[in-house]
Amino acid sequence: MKLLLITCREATLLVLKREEGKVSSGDGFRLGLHLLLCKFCKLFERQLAFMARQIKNIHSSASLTPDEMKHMKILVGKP
Amino acid sequence: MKSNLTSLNPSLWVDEYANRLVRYALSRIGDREASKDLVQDTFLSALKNADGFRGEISEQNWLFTILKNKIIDYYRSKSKAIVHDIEKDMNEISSFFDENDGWRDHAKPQKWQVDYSGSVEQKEFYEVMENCKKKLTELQNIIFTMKYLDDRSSDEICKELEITSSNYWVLLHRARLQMRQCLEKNWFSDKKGI
Repeated sequence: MKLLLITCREATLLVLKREEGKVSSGDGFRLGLHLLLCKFCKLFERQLAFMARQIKNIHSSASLTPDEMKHMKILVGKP
Repeated sequence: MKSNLTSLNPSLWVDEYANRLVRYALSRIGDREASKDLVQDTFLSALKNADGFRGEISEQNWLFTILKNKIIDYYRSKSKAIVHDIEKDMNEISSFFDENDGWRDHAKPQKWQVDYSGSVEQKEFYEVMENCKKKLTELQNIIFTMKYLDDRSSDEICKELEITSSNYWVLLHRARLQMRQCLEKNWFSDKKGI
């Protein structure tokens, strides 16, 4: 009989797998139970979901220097 | 029959698109020199394949498509080179948990003073997040980017990078643990009630 209780390490991995629908119903149940009992893993789950949404807003503000632009134009050349 | 080249303006490409393309590449690769090279290759490839442009999509979308494919090729070549680090990733996951696989004290998630269903306004937050992302290893970053910026599924990522699903889980698990902790240490831990 598989253990009913899972560890925090397993739970943090199952949270990830569940996002992808790769969790069996048994593991899903065990995860749900763990998240009810463990405030740290519950926080982990919420924070990861939050992070996943925010990450889309990061953007680089890099720019090519005038020299780099010039160099690129030379390399690309004209048809 | 009119040449397809008349609907493209290669002499304007660098001025019009170079910075945008570089920014896109940089947000996915993290390496400025490599990003520049990929953008250069994109322009050269576009010139070579200009005949194939049918004007069904915009010039910009076309260039971005070429760049995206080059980024995937870049990812693939990187993943082939780095897969053997998986043991290290597994050990690093262990550093978050104790001998019973419960959270170690220093790693326990803390409450964040934030609305989890909302968005953060301050642009400094995104700079912190970007810096945390830069601390990931190359392969962790690639997988993290493909999943969270490009919304690819695990099956797609494993197929594109030619990695096993078990390696995928280890890498992403590790990346997530680290990103969350980095974000907490560098943003949330000394923000009280913001």
